[in-house]
Amino acid sequence: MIIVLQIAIGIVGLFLAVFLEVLFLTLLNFRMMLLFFFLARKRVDWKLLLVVTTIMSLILDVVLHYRLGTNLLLFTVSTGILFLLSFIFSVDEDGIPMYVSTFIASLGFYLVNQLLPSLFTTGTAGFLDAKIFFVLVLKAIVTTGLVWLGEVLVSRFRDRGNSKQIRLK
Amino acid sequence: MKRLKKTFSFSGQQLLFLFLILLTIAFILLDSTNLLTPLRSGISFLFEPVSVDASEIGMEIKEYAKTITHVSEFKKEFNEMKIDIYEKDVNNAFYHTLLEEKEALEKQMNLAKKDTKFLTAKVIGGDNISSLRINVGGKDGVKEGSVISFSNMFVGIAEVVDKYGSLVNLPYSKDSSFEVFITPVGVEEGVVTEGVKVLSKAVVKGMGDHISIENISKDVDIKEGDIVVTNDSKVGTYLVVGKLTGLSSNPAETSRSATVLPLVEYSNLMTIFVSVE
Repeated sequence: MIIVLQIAIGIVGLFLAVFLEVLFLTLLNFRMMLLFFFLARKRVDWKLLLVVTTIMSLILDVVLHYRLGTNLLLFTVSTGILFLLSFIFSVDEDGIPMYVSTFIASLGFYLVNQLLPSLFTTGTAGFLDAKIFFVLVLKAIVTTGLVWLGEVLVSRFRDRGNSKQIRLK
Repeated sequence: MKRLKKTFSFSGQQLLFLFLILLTIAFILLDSTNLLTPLRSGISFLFEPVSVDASEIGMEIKEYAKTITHVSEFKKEFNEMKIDIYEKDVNNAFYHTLLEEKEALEKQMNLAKKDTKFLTAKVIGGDNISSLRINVGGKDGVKEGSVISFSNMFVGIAEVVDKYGSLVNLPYSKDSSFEVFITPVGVEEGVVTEGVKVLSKAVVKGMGDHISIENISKDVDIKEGDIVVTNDSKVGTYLVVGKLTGLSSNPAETSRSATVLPLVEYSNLMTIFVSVE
């Protein structure tokens, strides 16, 4: 029964996630999925994250009329950057190194997002100049800021949960 | 063995990256074939409506935000458009003035006496009941007593003439009094000429709020709607003043009286003509 409920919530969540992603993409040209991916990366089991990321990426590829696998490639690039940076400093522990790596991974995501989808669909890489690059840097900064905000909110929720648990004891 | 196992174990992040690479390559390669078409169709069927709705809502919000952020620009544009509309209104008014003048000139050329010289004048004010001010005066050849007409219709007499303008006395004015004759001929569309049937001679007097006609002969068959035509040396001959209306029917009177209803609405006149001999 719980599994059925979880599946139902998951399906509704998928629709909601697609709605929010397209809404923010139209409104601010901003990828909410990336934000959720960064927040979930440390907390959710990698298998579940892989499944959800794959499904969402495929859905977004279809609704954004990209070639299948394009969004997955964007997340792969971000994960790859984080993986490479993990050799230099810790990318998982809360602190400046984590936010720096988040910023670099976000910038990589947005750069690839600017160049590759067009390359896959039309054979020509997307246009990139200094102004667009500046906008992408700005987006990466906003994403990093939102990740920081998300981390703060999640840690507060966690603290409140813990305090409740302590009281119950 | 335990140490060896630990050496070769992958972290979750590494495995995630590894599987993401594999899945990405797999999907990109498979999408180049037609194998994933059913999957694409299925996803499209389920999620495209949600995407379209979200996109539309996003566009609407964006439009609202754009409107709010560009409100000063819109205000500027609105003011510019307002000025533009005013300019167009001015041009339009000018065009209408030209059109009115053209029509007045056409009527004048068709219906006015051919042997008289006319001066085109514009009405620039006056009370429109007993007097009108026009933009031509002594400098243009207007004299006191000059007759002002509009096609074949009598408008008034130049009462006061200055260098650059004149005051025209309309038939409504209490100072206005001249001789006329009454004819049954419908002269609205044509020129009154000599030899027209004269039913009776009479005198027209301005009463301020209406034009009275007196001394109409009792013996002739005069009816309402008959035309009143000027027949006075000071106002000239054969100009239509108006129609007869409100004809008196008192048998005790020696003559009949009536009211003259002008054929031209003096308040609507813009272009009129001054006869200059």
